[in-house]
Amino acid sequence: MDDSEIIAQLWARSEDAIAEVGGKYGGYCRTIAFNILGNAEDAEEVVNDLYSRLWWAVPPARPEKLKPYLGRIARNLALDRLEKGKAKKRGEGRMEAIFTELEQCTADKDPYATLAESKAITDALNSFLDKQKIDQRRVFLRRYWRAASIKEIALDFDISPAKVKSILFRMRRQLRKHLESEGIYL
Amino acid sequence: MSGARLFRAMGEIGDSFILEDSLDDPATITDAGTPRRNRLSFSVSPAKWIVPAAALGLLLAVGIISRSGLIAVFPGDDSTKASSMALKINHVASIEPIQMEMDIGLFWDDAVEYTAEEIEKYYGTTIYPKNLPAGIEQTVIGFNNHDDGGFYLFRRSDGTVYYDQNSFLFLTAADRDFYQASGYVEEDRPAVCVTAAKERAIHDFAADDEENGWQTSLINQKEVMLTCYECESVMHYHAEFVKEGVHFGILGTNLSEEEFINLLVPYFE
Repeated sequence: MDDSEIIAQLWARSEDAIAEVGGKYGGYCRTIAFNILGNAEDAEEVVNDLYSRLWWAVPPARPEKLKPYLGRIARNLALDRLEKGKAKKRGEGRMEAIFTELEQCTADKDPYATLAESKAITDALNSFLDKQKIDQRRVFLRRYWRAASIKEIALDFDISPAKVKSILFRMRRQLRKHLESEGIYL
Repeated sequence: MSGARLFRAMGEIGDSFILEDSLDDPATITDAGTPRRNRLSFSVSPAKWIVPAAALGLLLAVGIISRSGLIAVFPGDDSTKASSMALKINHVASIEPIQMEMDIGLFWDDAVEYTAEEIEKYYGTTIYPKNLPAGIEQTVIGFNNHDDGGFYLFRRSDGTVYYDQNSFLFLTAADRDFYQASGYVEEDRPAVCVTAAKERAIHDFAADDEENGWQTSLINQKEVMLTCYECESVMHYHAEFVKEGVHFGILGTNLSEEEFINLLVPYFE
């Protein structure tokens, strides 16, 4: 069943759609949640929450592509859980490591920065990613979108962990410059 | 918590990037019951340096700065005073930061690990540089895709060696500590990487020397192919030569020409 059929079933309030989503995208969303939370039980709860969110969001929403739509919800649910301290185990420190890595992309805090800048940040991230070569961009997303470990990324792309770190290091440095050039301070 | 905020913001990037990341999604592959890819690949050179090396192999436009007949003698350095040299450093005009790895079908089950001393004994000639630039330490680090700092020979079941290329990395003490902690080296740091192999020629740089019109240099009447190029504002010098049946590729990053030539001279004594 393709995405449009699943969406149509959701609009028709058919619970089969949820089962279809689980079979098609459950593993993907569970992996993202697990990467962030580091705990299978927590990840499973996120995925269950995700199905509930999806059920009540569609309709009225009509996402074009379900994979990024669901991945984004799973990611946010996992982050919410992490921030609220609900997670039983915080990914063996992986998220702390990722947050620390991303600190390197941010300049000193601008007192005028507010959450209202979110759109500008997203636009800046999109324009930064658009300039990158596809292989490097995929490595970057694997780390900072999916929260995958360095070793997992190395295995997935058949490159050494050292090369993964090197690519990420260079890209973080470039991202910092890019964000600064856009006047974005986090 | 700006890192956390940036990570959260990453969640809102465009769908196209997320879908692109999922092109060969391992989760999807696993769900479909397809075995996960387990093909092993191995860089012909250290990951850090393979970028310019591979680019060189693909270059269409190269220029040459010839230093015909130049006799390089550096004051205060006894090792080079007695050396006769005719250096022709082939300058690569443009470098594309292309990343490439060569899959040569290595299987790590075949790999036998050796110590630094044992591996030099295998090659049967001096591998490690005697004239490292000031600040760079003699401590050798193995540089391979296993990322464990080891030295390996790949042997068939009958014991014969089918792959013996190893790379030996030399760094400053601070960079070595950083490398061991982080797994990578900043690209602008001074470094020396010696690659050696008996079983195959090292042609990271000079594969198309005839076509490119590159010229060989002579150090103590022995041929060496020298190239230099600038990549991300950092100068790199590279030498390829054969000594006692061992193929060498030596790369100096962020060294002066003088330091690099000084490094080479003992290999030709």
